[in-house]
Amino acid sequence: MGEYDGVKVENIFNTMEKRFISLGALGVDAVIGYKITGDHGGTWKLTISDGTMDLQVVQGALEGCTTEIIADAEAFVGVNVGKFSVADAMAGGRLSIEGDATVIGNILPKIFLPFIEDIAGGEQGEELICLSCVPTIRQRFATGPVMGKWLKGLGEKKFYANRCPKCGRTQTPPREICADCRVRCTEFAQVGPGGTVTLIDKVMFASPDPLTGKVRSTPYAMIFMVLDGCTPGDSFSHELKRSDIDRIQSGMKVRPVWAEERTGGYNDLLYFEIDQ
Amino acid sequence: MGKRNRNVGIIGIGQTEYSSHKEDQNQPEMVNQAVRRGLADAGIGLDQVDCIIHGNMELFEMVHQPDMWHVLGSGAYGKEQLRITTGGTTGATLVCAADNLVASGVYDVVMAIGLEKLQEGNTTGGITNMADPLWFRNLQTGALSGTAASKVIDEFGADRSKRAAMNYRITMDKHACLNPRAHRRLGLEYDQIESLMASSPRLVGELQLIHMCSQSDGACVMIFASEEKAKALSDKPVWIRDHITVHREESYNIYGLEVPETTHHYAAQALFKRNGIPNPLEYFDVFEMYDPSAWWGLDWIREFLLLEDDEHLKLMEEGALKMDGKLPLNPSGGVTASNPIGATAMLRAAEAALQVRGDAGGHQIQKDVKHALASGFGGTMWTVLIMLEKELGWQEVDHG
Repeated sequence: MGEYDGVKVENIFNTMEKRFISLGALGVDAVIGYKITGDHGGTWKLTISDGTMDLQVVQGALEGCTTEIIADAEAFVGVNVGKFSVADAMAGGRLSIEGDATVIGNILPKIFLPFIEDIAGGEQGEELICLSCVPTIRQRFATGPVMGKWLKGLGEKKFYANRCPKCGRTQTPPREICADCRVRCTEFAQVGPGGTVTLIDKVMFASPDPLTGKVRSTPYAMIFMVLDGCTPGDSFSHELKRSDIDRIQSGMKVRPVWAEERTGGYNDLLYFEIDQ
Repeated sequence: MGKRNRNVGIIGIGQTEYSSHKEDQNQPEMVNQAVRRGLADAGIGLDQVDCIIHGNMELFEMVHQPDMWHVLGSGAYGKEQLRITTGGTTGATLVCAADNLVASGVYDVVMAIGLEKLQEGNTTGGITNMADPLWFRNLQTGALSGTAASKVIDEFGADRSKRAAMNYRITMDKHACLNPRAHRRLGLEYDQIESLMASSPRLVGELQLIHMCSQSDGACVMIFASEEKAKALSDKPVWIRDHITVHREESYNIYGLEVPETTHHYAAQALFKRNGIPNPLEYFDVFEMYDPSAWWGLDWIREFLLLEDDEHLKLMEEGALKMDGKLPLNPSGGVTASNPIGATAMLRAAEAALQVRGDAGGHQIQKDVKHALASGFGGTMWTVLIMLEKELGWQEVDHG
């Protein structure tokens, strides 16, 4: 089955010239080879040269390509009609890229309109208009007295947990009540500053930092730990020192590293580091 | 659940196809497609619907009052309409709310609409940006987490666990390939277990891209009617037997040296106890589970079915969760295949109901489906669990 919803490999290639955006290709020089296997497969060579394109059907081996895209026919069409992403196709072992992979994400979307099946029998519609803007919204959240005590404590390099008067568990950060027992927790205890690691989440996916708008650099590790003096079920989490990522294991002792200037917030703690 | 005032049947189901993006439809048009299909399936007109409940996660598309815009597609103008937004469980909460509204006697026929167009927003950004502002917003990475993988690997070793998780993912993909509406149908084979483990990009810890759910566009509609109306309007209504919703406080504190009972386990034991079901694995004929990743899905089989030790891994390894297995899991392909978030948890109940009716098409289980289980899951760990029945006359709920 070399097609998806009636769209064949040849439909993608036959419409390339029509979908080509000459302006988007100004200053671009790339030679992209396509090796499509399976039904309706074949080999194509696309040459982009400063605002022009040239597509050739190739008999035999591809030569002189800066990027080669190897895919089965169904996956190739699926990606082009938006049925699934390049990342999905790659993850499934259906599509691979040799040579300069940045062409896929950075160049091709700028020089070709997306393939849209001509279901209405009319002309290709205009491209979606995209407006980009970066809004900045100033928000202020009240901490309440309980979280306020915790945050103030950080400024003094101290961790204040609170304790449930009924079940005895500690809570870090402290919470207004014990949700299990539904009673107020008014007794505070200084805990830590060291702790024992219980779980490590090593993050490779670069997500946006909501407080700066910048993409977080990876890898980083978020660690769960039980601070010294806390009850065993009370886990606390923060970031691990990046140079410790390869060494960290569950059960290890860690200690906090504090910021020079502290303002009573999350960033008063730079990170935790291995303490053994 | 309190005492049921009257029984409620599912009489209509309408779904769009699920896809990574739907640039050919705007949101009301997508809603309209599901509404038309749902009404046609029920064989009724909009004039017979007393109330419409609408659900999506508006922070993902960042459109306020989506229920008002979507009136263009739902036909809700001039009708009673409520909106529900409970994160991942939105679709399941819609089912519970519709059931409660009809069972209570307030309305005879309720239409529930769950939808999402994730392509039009940024899901991970939405989740991260809206996490608890005082502390955890600094730590959150959307719905991505390697904690489930770490937990399973700590207990059963890396090799067995990683194979079971990939086995799970491939089984789900095989099911999705039978479902023409499913978004991701990758055509994975069991002999790819090792190559996928080696090649799929790592997101967090042992959570790889291939394990994770998709981000999909799509809508689902379900129509609910009182017993009297359901019997009059439908040849094969599917009955809602019971459901439970369990919340806990934020979940960041559940990874200590002692781990509390999960909301899934709590929900399952409470629901099955009050319904007199000692062995859910024997009782249910199908389970549509909200599985946000292959790792979570694998781990949660044990929680929901109240299994012990490695029983859940054995079920996976023995093929008991495949289409023709002892308890088919997600014949639809589940959430790793299709995930239009506001509809996702409703799809679990809708797909389970289609199995009970025998109308699932290419992914219909071959054996008779009398008892179905459907679960919903929400972001920082909460649970909705729903039981469906083919026939009325089950053992009454124990309200003790």
